[in-house]
Amino acid sequence: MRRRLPMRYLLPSLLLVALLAMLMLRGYVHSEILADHRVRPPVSNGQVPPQILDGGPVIDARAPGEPKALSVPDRNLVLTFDDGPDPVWTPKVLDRLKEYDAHAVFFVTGTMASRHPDLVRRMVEEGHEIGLHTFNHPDLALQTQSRIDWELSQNQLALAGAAGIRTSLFRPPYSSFSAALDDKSWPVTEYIGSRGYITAFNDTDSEDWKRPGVEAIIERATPKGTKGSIVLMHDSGGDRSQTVAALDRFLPDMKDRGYRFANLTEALGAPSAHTPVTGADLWKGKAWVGAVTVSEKTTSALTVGLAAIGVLVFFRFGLMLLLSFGHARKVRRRRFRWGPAVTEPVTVLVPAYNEKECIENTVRSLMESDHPIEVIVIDDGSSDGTADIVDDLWLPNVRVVRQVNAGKPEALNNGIRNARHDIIVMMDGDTVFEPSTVRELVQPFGDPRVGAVAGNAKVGNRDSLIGAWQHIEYVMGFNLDRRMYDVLRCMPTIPGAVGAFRREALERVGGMSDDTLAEDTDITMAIHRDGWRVVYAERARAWTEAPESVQQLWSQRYRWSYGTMQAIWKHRRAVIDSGPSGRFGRVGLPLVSLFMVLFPLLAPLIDVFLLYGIVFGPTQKTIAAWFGVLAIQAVCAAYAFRLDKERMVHLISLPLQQLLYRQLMYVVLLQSWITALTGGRLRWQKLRRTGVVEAPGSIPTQRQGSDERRPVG
Amino acid sequence: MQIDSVEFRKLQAGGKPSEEPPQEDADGPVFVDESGRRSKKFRRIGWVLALACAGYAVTLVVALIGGNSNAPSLLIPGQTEDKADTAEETPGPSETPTAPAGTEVEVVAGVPSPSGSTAAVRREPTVSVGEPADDRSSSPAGDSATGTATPAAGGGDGATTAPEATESTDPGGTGDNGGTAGGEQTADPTDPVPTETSTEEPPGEPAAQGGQLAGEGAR
Repeated sequence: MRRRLPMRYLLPSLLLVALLAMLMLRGYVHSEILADHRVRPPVSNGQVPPQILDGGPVIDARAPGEPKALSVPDRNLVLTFDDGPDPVWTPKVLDRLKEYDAHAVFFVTGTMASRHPDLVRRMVEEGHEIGLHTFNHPDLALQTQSRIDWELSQNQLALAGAAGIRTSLFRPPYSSFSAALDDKSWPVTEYIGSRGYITAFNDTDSEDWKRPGVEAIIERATPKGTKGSIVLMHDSGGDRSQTVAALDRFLPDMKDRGYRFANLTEALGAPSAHTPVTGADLWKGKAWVGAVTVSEKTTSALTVGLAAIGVLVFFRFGLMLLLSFGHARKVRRRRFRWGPAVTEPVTVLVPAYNEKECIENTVRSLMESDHPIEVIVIDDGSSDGTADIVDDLWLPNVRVVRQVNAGKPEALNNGIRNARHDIIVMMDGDTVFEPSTVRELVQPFGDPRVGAVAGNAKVGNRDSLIGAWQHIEYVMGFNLDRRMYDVLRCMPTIPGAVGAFRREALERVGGMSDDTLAEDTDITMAIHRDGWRVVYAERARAWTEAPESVQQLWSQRYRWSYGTMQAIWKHRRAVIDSGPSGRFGRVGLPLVSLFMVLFPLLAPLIDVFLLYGIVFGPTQKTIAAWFGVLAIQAVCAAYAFRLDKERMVHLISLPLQQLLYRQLMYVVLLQSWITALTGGRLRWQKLRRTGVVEAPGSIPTQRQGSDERRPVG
Repeated sequence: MQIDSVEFRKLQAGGKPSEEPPQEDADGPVFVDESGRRSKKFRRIGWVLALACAGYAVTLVVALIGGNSNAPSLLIPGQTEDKADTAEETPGPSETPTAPAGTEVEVVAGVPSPSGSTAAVRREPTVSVGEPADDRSSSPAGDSATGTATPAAGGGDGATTAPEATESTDPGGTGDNGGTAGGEQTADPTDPVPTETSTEEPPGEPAAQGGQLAGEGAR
């Protein structure tokens, strides 16, 4: 066990780290992180050498103090496409170029090249030239020197990974003619030159990004007479259908006029601007592109998956509101009856293991019952004299059955054997009933189809934060979830704190089983599968004491979620059964599996996305979305509180519940998953009780001093 | 207790025989695997997953750090002829500007310029694009070994000037410099230092000679 411990925390944390890395990488190559969309206004150009302002569009500033401006020779057209590659338009552009045997230059951004490496490879294979256009397209005149270096090296890295080459060509973002260079952009051009790059501006700007129409694009792209020209176009950054259409005419027309379409170095008569990359640099590039691909695929799949889950969860919220409204209306009608009033005496089973703090309250609360009952306290080998406490009360109709410690399911079975009546109420040793609870709880048995009834468990100690959170959870769970399950006839659990069973139903399914740690869920599912109805009695209130420390809460929930998973697995065959069992298997099991076991497991992903959105993404939108979801939950919770006539004041802790409590719950669920998968054994972890819970108004003299609120032991 | 549950089952058999589905799939605790084999298997899968995740993060970091922003050299014809006129100036600067930005270039950038500068530019056209010369400067940090080796081999001219210079500087601090480059040499400083420092010194020393530009570049 000790050896397994690190793994069950190490792996989930590493998965989260990897996921966060993928998300950040995605943001980086989608220009959400580190992107700078500012564009600088033009300034004067007094410091730009005149031969540059008047010269050709190709600037060779590699020799400091001696910049040269080169031009493309006559009858040469160098088509240049910026900002790509784009998965939609670049292939179309490449197809047109191929059709007319034209070569061009693609000034690719690092982000797009990382995301679409296959297109870069195709460009190179088809004889086009690649130039750098920075990694994520900032205005370089606004950037520091180290950022410029970073932009260049990241762009080269992406290029090396995509096509296995480095390039010597460069075009700055937001650039146009070399005549438009000014005192801010010229130093950048000089610096880029000092790093060994040839910077290519243009002669004719098609301005295709404005989508001015095919005619206008062609007109602006066409040089005068037979002059050579570098033509600026774009293959990315939006709808480029006009650009593609323009190429369809521009290419053949200009060829007819005697032009050749060459890439830049061909036009200048120079060797290729590409240099193959080998060794470690090549592998680095490949690793980069591979990492980007993995992150793109993973995060896309996750986004789709989470969106689908989100839709389902909201659908469930809506369904819950609708059905619980219907349920409340139905059972609250004045004339509503389950059937003939149930007045026969019933047996109340109180399994108890070391409940000395609570047992007296529990049993005394039963004595106030307005329904005839027989109480059987089954002492499961307590070591703290629980049984003696009950014996010493000398109460009529209360029997104590002692057994050697054998677990709660066996204690209940023992109780069932000793029960004299045909309706059996089960409660926990730490729960307190109201006088009317038993009567309300057994009324549904007036309907002969009803095999079991779930009561309404309420948290007594709701004044602490952790108690308030559980209070909200209980009120929502009983007033929304259970009403919905009642209507859908697939109640997954009758709470151990307050439930009633028909003896016949219990016996038909073989009584309580210790196959799972959630014997209450197990038995409820079994009764469903046997064809009985299981319903919810909202007025049968039982007051229970919720765990007051995180550790106690942890072990309680660990047992619940692991036990629920066990019960689902145990009854998995119901999915293919026919009859009522099949109905439960195809409606109840999927509902419970999806919303209680599977989806909550992905909740951490939602939080990671949320965190990412707040830090990098559209912060305001993310926060607004979070508050939106919170508002929906608040509406549901408020409705549940209203149904139960609870004071709304406890809802104050709802926002905090979403931030702290939920995370604890999914760590618990994750641990349950790991235990289930690896087949480890969980021992029953008993809660420590303080014995302060009692039904309001009942036996007020029994309330114990506030000193004893602290956990005992 | 055991007997009772058997009785229950008999009861059900009598009551609704067909409707009792095989819900006793799990006799004994669900999920529990006493052999521990499943746990081992999942542990193994867990390790693979954990390593994959860690590997991913490491790959990303490695790919992101230490990039190289220099362009490979490209020779534009018609340009070279222009440059040939100003041969003495061009070669130096063509290499030196790389130094101020990436300080790691110091050693490598300085050396080739005085020794191989003029030769390199002239040679390049014949060696197609002249990648070798630039590859050295393009990966300066990692390839310091090859960087120091090449000038010694190719730069015959540089070697003749360097020893004279280093002898004078030897007694002072250069011994330490030599030591950082190659640990063995520090043991007997007198002999190997000249050859060693010839690769190290030029940035500082040739200042007296024509390598002024290179020296400035290194600072």
